[in-house]
Amino acid sequence: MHDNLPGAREVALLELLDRVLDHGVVIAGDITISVADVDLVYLGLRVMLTSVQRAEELRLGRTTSREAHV
Amino acid sequence: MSGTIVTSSASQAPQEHGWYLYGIVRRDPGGAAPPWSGTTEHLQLLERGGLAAVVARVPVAEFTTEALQARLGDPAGLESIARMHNAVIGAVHQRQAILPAKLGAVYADLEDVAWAMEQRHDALAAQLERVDQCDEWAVHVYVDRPTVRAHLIAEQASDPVQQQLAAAGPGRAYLLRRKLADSLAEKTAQILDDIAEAAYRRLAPLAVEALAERPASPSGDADGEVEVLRAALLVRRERREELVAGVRACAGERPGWRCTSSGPWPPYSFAASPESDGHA
Repeated sequence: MHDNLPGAREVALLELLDRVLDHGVVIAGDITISVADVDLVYLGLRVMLTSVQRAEELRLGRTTSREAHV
Repeated sequence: MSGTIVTSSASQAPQEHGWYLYGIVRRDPGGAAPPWSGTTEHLQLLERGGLAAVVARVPVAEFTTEALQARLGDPAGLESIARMHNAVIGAVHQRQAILPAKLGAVYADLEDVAWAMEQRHDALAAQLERVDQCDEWAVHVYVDRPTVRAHLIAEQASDPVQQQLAAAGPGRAYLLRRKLADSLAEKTAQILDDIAEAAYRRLAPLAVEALAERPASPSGDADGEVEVLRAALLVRRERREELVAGVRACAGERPGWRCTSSGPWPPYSFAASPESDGHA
């Protein structure tokens, strides 16, 4: 192996990051956090919303549709 | 973006804990032991309909925008989050089908997770069906450009242009050399395309689904090894040996051609249903 090639551990980490970053199912999410132009994280519905009003809309929507399932 | 945490109760006081979502599994109607039994006991199952969410209670303070940006911006922090995410999902994946959640999905309230699961119940169930008994495999195909070029230069020795070159004056020789160089670059790019396509055609039929990209533009004069294909394959477990053999066969097919794979992984690249494009 050449000196300038990454070691097995780095390769394994890169492969892992390739798999887990910006992949996966989003069941409900509003905010994406990007670091170095890579979209990394979606935060769930209610954790950090940009406005209380939006939270209220979501809460109302949720209540309505929960009632519909009863 | 405000850092305010909005709780689902009437109280607006910041809450201390949230719920990290690892993924969605099928609910076990028999009430069997949870899929991570004996591995990572801090997890909980939130059941709704025919589905269950694999969640863990986490301190909200670690998942604010500022905290996350700091942790993810630091390679060691990113590595620890990625490894934690993969360790749990991998442990569940060994026991039953899981749709991995996007890294770092944190919910303030379990009811939000349950509600979201209900909203997309049928699509999530269908997607779980699709990945059942399957692993994801990552495949990379690399080509050593100097090897390809040396092969082409050897071929060019018999090109009629070479004879013309021997008899040409300086102006014509310049133009002929340009012609040879252009043709070399074009043929090199063509061979890289062909190799990527041949590898894909060999491996994709072994998969339930395949995603592929050409990571780098093979044009230009950059030397050394170039990655010509990066693929994610969703492969049924009983075809695992065929896939490994296929990767080995690709690697030995032509000089300068290298093919590597890693896996089995949980189906990260196949968790989002195609029609939803990953979003609710």
